[in-house]
Amino acid sequence: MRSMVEGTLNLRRCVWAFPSVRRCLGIACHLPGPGRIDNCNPSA
Amino acid sequence: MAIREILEVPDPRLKVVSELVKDDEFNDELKQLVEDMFETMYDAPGIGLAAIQVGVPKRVLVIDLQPEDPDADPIECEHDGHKHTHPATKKEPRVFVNPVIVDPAEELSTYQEGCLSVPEIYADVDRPATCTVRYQDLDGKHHEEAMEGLLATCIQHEMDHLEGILFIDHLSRLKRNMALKKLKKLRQAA
Repeated sequence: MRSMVEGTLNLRRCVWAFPSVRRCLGIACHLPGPGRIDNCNPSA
Repeated sequence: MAIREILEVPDPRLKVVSELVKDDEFNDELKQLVEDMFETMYDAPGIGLAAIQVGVPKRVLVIDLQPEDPDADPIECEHDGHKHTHPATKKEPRVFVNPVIVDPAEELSTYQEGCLSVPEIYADVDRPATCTVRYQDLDGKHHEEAMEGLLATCIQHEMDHLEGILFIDHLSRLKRNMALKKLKKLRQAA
């Protein structure tokens, strides 16, 4: 199982939450597609 | 240890009902299978894997929810020039042989699930919020454990695999077809 739930492995990577914006919101994974923005602490 | 190939839909082997691990099968071969399953799951990455997903029709599951480790330093990450950190996680590997669910709760909880055998597809699935699971460990010893939260959801997801059921089978026909169409498009684009 994969999970998008906060605190699980798949949230360790960053996601392009909104590909049209092309800005990493620091979420689930480095894969394109929707994700959540609740588990990353952007430092730059 | 070895990373094994993960079967993906529509591989017909994912619809196979897995067989019980017999008493004389709690041996080194089973331990090797479990080691390989963990390596495969961590590599994917995922939080749970059933033996049938690597082509072995035995009632064996591995799960590691890998919760955050508040005592460890955050992991620095850089993706396309964007620097940030992620909370560190810790490993909590669990093995379940011949698992059986008893007294699933009437109350349901919803999690957004994905599956290593259905790549790139995520969907909300309702499942009993809590359940008790009877299972054996790698030595054949019997256990019973009450589960809740993500662990309850994850083991139910994995136990579905033992019956040849995928999480997308819990969706409406319309949503399932949309998911499969999306997967087909992603594969064509790859």
